[in-house]
Amino acid sequence: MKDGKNTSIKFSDICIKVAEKCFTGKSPLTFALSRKGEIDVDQFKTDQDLLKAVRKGQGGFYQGEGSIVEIDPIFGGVQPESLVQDSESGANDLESAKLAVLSLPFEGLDFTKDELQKFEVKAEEVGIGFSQESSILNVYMYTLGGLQDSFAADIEGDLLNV
Amino acid sequence: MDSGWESFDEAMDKAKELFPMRGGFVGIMVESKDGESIITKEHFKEIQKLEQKIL
Repeated sequence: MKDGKNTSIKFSDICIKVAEKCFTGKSPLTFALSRKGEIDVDQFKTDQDLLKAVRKGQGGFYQGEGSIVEIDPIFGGVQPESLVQDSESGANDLESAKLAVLSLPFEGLDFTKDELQKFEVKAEEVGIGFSQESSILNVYMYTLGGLQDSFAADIEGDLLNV
Repeated sequence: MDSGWESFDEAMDKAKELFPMRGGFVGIMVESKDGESIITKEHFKEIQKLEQKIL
């Protein structure tokens, strides 16, 4: 528990901060980042303009592989199925995608595992609620804690079945 | 092979002690409800709304 206060954790309490902002990792929204580093979907006049930006395969301000954004880990249900992306420039021939994945990393800081799990549960509830209310998006949530529990349960099940 | 651990729980506790996991991530998969492409301004704005709710 941080500072001995029994308050629920917000993402901004535990997010990995870059220049005072929560780092959200590469996601579809990376393609909509403005030069100021803000997400600005309205910088595109049409859906076709947005698709053109995605097909450039670049966005954000990342080191390592530069500003190239790999399409494969972000989008699913893509057309063409045998998507081709240039590893040097990021350019790709994506036409459409039915799914997209976002990942919001956080660090534990001085919170307990229980407190972090409560945060994960709360985040999952937000996603489920959003999915029910949204007319255009289905939302599926998963967390590292959930995956670890599932993995541990699988191992335990395997051990019990030996 | 005898690992020396009494139980699975004890082994997991030992593993957590050796490899303390701090932090993690919230993973979100979004899918267009109509089965059409998600690469539209409308879908991206909805994704941004969802992200803001969690942030």
